[in-house]
Amino acid sequence: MVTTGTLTSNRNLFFWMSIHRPVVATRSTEEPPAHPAARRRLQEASSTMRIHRYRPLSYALALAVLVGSLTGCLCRLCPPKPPEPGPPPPEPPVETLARIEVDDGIEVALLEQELGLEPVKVEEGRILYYRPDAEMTRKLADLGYQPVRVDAAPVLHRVMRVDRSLLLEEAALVDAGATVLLREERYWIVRASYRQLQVLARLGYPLSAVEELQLHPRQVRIVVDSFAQIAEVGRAGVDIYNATPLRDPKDPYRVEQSERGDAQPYVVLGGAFDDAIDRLRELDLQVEILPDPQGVVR
Amino acid sequence: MNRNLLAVFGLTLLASSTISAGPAFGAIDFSAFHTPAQVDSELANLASTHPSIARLQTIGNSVEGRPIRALKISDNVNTDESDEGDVVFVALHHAREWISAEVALYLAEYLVTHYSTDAALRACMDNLEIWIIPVLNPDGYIYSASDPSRRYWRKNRRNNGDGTFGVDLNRNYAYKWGLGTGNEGSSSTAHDAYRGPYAFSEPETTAFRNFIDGLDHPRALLTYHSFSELFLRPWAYTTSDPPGEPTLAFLAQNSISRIAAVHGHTYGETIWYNSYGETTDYFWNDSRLAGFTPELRPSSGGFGGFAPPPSQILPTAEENLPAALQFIRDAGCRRLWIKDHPTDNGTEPSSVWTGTGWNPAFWVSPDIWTVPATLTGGATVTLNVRIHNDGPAISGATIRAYYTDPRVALEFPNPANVLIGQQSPTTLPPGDTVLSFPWTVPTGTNIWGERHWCVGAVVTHPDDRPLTTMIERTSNIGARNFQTVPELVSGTLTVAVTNFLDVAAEYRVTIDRDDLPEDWEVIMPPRPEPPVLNRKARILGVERNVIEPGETVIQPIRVEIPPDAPPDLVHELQVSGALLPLVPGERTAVGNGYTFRIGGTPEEDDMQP
Repeated sequence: MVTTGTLTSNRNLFFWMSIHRPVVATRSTEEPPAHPAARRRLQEASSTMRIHRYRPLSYALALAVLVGSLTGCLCRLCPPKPPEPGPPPPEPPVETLARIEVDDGIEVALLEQELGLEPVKVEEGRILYYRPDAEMTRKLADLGYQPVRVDAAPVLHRVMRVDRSLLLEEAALVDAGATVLLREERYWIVRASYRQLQVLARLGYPLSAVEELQLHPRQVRIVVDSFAQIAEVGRAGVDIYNATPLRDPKDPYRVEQSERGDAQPYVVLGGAFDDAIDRLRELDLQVEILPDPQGVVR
Repeated sequence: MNRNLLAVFGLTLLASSTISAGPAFGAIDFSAFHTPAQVDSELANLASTHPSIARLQTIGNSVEGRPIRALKISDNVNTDESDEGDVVFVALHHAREWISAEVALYLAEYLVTHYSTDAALRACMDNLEIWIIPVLNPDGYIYSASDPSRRYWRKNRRNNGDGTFGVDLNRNYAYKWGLGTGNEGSSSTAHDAYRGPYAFSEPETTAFRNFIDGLDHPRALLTYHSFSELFLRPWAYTTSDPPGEPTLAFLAQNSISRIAAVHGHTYGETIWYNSYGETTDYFWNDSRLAGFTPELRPSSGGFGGFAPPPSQILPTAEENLPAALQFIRDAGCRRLWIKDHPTDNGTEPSSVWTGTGWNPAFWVSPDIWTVPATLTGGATVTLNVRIHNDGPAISGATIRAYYTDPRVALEFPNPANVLIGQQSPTTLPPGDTVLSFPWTVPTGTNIWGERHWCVGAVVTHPDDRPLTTMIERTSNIGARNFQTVPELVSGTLTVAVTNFLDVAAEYRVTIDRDDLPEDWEVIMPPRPEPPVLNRKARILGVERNVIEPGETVIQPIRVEIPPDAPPDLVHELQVSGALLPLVPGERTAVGNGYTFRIGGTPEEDDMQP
């Protein structure tokens, strides 16, 4: 099992390397992750050490290897210290759920009001999950529903913190199906299903609970071409506080015309997580990150 | 309820000596934002210092169990006066919008302190129950106020169970819930506009819906938000116009003018994005309760816009006061009005759904008639509309007359209406004024194959505005049902029921045959049930007569008149209907009816299809 505690506390590249091989050897005895991309990553991790995102640091890495080797020799003189056991992979609060299909959120509200049904999760207002309950299942069946039992792990999601280290890749998080909400210097905040989180844990990604204040959207400033495009920014996931025509003389970034068209440009101010900012940049919009409000610590 | 201004004035003089004035207006300090505890204590203080007109009550609890408090302001505040209308002001759906609670608090103080000194305002307040809910989201408010790093928290404090907290209460109402993405209403629990797992999943929104449902006659709703200086009206979910857009636009623009007149800030009318599951959309769709969203100061800015300098509190509250007061005047003091039925005295609503019919029929206004009385398709007649003016002479009123295909639910104006004419008399003198419009009666049948047309008249004035489009719920609108052929001898009447709502509904068609002789038979055959009943209907235990949005159902009514009935004997048959939407909470009936004249002599152009 990957010792997440060890990896979490690892701020020293040598230390990480010194435990790297034993960790992989332990992994190889485990059942491989279900997700093909995760399996691929695991294979890659067990065979070679690849650094994709931090090439500029490769020199530092080489130096660290050298220093590490020397230190390792010295350490042989000391008694070996076993890796600290990390927390187990996150488990969903229930193992199984019951699922029914509904038309919309109003139907869910009616089921709650009339039957006392307590939804555990509703996906897009169409798939309702509840804790299996024989009496409730009977009532629902009487109304024509067809409840089905399902495994909770791929259904329920959780937002977690993943501490970063040089050799952990964001791409693997995405491959495993996680959504990266925040990409901070020392950690990622991801949203993923329990199943996906379990895969990540096996891959060695150190997961921990999110402190609420870490889950703070960034302040963004976006210039759009037209009034209509403001709504696109909102749909991409920006919590729009305000939008004003760019010609507003109070705006220090005043320009008369957008570079991308003749329509009236607007400045949109709002809050957004990194997944929304990524989407905006895919739309070829310039996103300026503004300072956080007072008291926000990342 | 006393609608006679002179009598009200007399009562004011009589009663003012018995009502404790309490602290004067201005006792509450608005030089700084109140803490949540201070808002609570100011509300309690207003109630305790004006016990005869103000009472604090709880409309429900938040997700963390905190009470959601409403200050009721009314003449007999400890009595539920079921004949009085209700006007509701709510604030702080969003935790960070502190200034909205300040505006609500300011309004509350103004009303309780001016009740004893402003006779005109008091006359309107006496006809109403006014509800002020400064903080709908107490958990979020307290969280927002607890630490500077939490100042810009927007949602409630629902533990979403996945490491995130909060649901955006203004994306959690049932109308069009779940159809948006991102800022429109997100499915992502971390997002500030997270809509919740399902409509009305939150105790705060459920409490507010149940509170409105429990009111006797809700007339108007203002839900304060910040910021950007806007005065928004339905729809929030689309840029398309809602039914009744001219009425909503008039109310919004008139309010914007009143706001601008105070400090020169002209609020805008449109916002940059759509919102699904929004408050005012829900209530306009549900019951044509006019709701508006003032987005308060400042006009622009980043996150700091949610925390304007305290020096902005007072001017923001001051400029929004006249708009709020006008809604109270509109709802509580009707002046120009049209009767809905012969016994209508201007009471709103003029008719109620009893479960088996509308009592009394409200589509029979004696203030609307034609010359000649008998209508023939294609003929040009004179349509007369009588306006009652209970006050002194008034200028600036506009009267519009429309005709429309009668459907189960009638409203004026509506996109289905055809404008007959519009007049803006120089003055309307005290008492009654009759205005005449030329009207070319439609030929043939309406689109449902009926020879029925409904004429509606709407009177508007900047100081006397209709707050809804429903005939029975405002004295500013009257309607009269006309038949272009006079009588049916024996045969089948067809009644069309259209579900104009956006949700499935149960429909009920009822016949009032009290006016008919006993041996005249009226039979309404049951409609065959569709093979699969709507699932929402099954949940609610509704077993029949379900109509999907946009669907029209033709309901035949068989009339059998004995052959020996005197040919000059004509009776009226009232057929009415209602839609009861299949939604959570109380299912508010909307509907209308027709008057059929039956009996008499057969004519070539009779009503049978």
